[in-house]
Amino acid sequence: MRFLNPLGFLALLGIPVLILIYIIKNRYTEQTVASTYLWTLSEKFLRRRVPINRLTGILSLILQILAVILVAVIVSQPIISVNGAAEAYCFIFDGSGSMSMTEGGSTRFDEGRERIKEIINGSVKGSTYTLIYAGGTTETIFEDYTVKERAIEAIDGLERAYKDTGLSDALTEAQKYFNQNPAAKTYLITDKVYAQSQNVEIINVNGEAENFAVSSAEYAFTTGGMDITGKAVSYTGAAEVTLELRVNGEEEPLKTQKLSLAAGEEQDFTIETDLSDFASFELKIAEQDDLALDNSLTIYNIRHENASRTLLVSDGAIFLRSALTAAGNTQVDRISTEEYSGQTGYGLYIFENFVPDSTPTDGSVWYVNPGESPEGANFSYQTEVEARLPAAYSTSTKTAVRKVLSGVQEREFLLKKYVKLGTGGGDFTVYATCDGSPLIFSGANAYGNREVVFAFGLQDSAAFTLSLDCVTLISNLLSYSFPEVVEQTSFMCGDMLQINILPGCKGVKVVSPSGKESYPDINTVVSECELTEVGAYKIYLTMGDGTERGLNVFSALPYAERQPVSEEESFVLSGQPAAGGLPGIYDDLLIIFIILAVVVAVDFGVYCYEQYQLR
Amino acid sequence: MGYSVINEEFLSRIELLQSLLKNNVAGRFGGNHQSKTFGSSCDFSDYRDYVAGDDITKIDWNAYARFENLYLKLYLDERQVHTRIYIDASRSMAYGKSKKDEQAIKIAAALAFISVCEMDRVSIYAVRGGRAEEIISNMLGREAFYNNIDKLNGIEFDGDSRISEAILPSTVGYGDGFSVIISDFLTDSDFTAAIDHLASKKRDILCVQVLSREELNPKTRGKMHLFDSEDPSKYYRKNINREIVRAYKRALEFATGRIRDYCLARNGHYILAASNEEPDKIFLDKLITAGVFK
Repeated sequence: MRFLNPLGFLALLGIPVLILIYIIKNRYTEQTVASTYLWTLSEKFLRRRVPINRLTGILSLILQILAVILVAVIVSQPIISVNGAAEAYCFIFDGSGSMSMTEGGSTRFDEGRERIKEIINGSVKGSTYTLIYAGGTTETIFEDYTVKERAIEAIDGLERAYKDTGLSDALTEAQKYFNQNPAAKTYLITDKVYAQSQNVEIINVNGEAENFAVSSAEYAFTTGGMDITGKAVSYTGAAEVTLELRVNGEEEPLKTQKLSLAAGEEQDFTIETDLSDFASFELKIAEQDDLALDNSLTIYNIRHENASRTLLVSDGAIFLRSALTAAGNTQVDRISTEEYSGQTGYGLYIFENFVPDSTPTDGSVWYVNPGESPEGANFSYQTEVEARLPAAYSTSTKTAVRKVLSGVQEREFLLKKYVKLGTGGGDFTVYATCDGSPLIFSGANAYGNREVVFAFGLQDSAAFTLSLDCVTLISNLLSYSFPEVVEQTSFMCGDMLQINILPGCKGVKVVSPSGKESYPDINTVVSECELTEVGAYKIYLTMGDGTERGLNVFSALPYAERQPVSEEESFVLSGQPAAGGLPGIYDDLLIIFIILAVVVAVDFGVYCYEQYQLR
Repeated sequence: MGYSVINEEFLSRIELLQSLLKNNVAGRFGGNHQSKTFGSSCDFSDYRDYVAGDDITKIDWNAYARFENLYLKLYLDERQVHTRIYIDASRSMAYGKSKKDEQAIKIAAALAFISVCEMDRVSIYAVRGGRAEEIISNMLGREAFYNNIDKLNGIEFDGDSRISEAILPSTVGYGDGFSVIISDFLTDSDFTAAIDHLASKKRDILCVQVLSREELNPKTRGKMHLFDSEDPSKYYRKNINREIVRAYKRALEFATGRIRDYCLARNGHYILAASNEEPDKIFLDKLITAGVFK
């Protein structure tokens, strides 16, 4: 036994003070009476007292001294240490997606958390607590904590993960701890069933959860509209479910379909619609089960997500407009050259047969047949030249060239004339030349934005404008000019979302389904962000002029986490467990406080009895 | 005493008391009645041995001739008796506000008045230490009473009193009336010898125990250190609670019972009077009940 605060025994100085008070307070009142004869005689008539009763006169004092001693002991914080009474606890907590299943009103995750807290609360003081959490990542949340409250606080702060977290990393961590502490008691809290385990006590928090899910979905446009195909599954038993289709975030389902799901078998479904386009659609099983995370699946149209507005400044632009439309760019605002006054907020500016005073700063720029050198552009106008030879597409094998020229069938095309331009410094890529001069090329302007130059008028080359290669090339150049922010919109939780940082992009914000915000690095071409939640993620890009562009992607629950009960082979901590625990500490002063309260109460009772006796 | 206990008011009160007694009971307390002792009337009653000091004219010389022993012839006598009243003049009688002294004087005066009204002689003594100081001697008749009774106001209550030591050597008379002892009897000293002595002298005995209200029903509580007024070396130190008070009352009962029983065993009388008790109650109730007045 030891005392954390031996100075607390200074409180014992209160005892002499108490005795002094008692002596002063309990002085006998002196009085002279006619005769003490009868008083003295009364002694013979007093009931005989047992010796212990003689203490009753000072019982109040005894109790008060006892109370002072108890206070001194409490203040001194005694600690009784018993060897081997405490344990080193190591908890491995599975925080994977399947732990989100709700059984009996609480999730498996919450149930597991409560089980850990129960063990901690029931442990002897002096024990140590270590938690290895296999959540979004596997990490040791705390190691050898000795304060229960601190450990419980950290456990309360854990957040569910939704990804397919394997326990192999957790096993490695646990093995390391076990090697250092062979006497440790290791618990694995999971909903997985292990055929074999060693040196670990597995606390299963799985139950008889019911779960059905929309496994996958695809769409295809047909002549009559759009067909949606996919698979749904019931993991625990046969189920009759209703599949609802909602389009473009509307509340009311566009279509519903009854599905008879067999246990454990994926069921194909097809929903035919007359949709010609969509921004997003959601497939959702209307019935409730124990894991809602996989009951719906949202598909976002990649083309819509990556689309951007285009400003076409042209006084004619018949060819260009039809080519843009044919290439799928439907968000084109056309104005005449007179109407142009430095408008901003567009992803792409196309100047046909016109050169602005200065180059736009907040988007890609196309110059078609420029008549002079615009400020900020990465080229310089030299002269207009009659074409003596056909224009030839580049035969370069460079990836950038091949990507832009992919799908282009012809090797050359005829044209009447072109403008001879001098290319500026920096990188530029030539896709077509005429008589050695760059005819179609791209680069970056003075503002870092992509720049595409057509060094000829489209009206001067019917061979080009009327060919399929024109549409193909323009489509490819649009993709070049509008680099896709995301290349796919459907992910599994745990996947890395890759975000192409657009030129001129001043900031990227990713908002998770639960509302958590993250800000990927923009000082790179492709930024990454891990999808740790299930549901729709919002991606916001802030462009140079302050405008914001939003995209959506969907993160689905991994397939492995949809199984209510998954069976694993083994969880084995190798090594020989050691006997013996840690010194247990008993410093719970509650009982002392209770005794103190009883003593004070009894003292008060004695006082009351004395007052009653003196009536 | 700060004032005279025996005053005009009191005297008129005892006159009324005497009148009441006379009218309601025979009032056989003192003279003018046939003594149970022997006298000098013509009615022969008995013989007894001669003792030194006896009147030699009463010797039956015929009996001496026959038995060669001196015997006195005794006759039933209608004679005047001598009431002797002993007042305990110790400090305990007067200490504090108990007024036991006043009550003792009042009782003594009343008894004396009743006696003189019966044409008895009355002597009043103050017992102080081991002596019985004669305050009033052989008072006879009302005039003498009125002339002398004021002397009782002068009794000083101080020191201790040893009743037996005081009475035994004093002249107590023989078979000629009442001997009244008025005291609180709160003493370790032996008073039984006095009672025995008086009984052996064929005296009618009346013990009046006067106790204060506090002594009869103590209200003292708590941690007390009580000193004896007569002897400060005597003290009682206790946390006085209900249990002790209960024991005190048993002790009081024992003490009063002992005196009462002792008196009764010797054909004597005993009454207990509270210091604040009205004389009417004492004389018209307690003394009659005790058989003092017949």
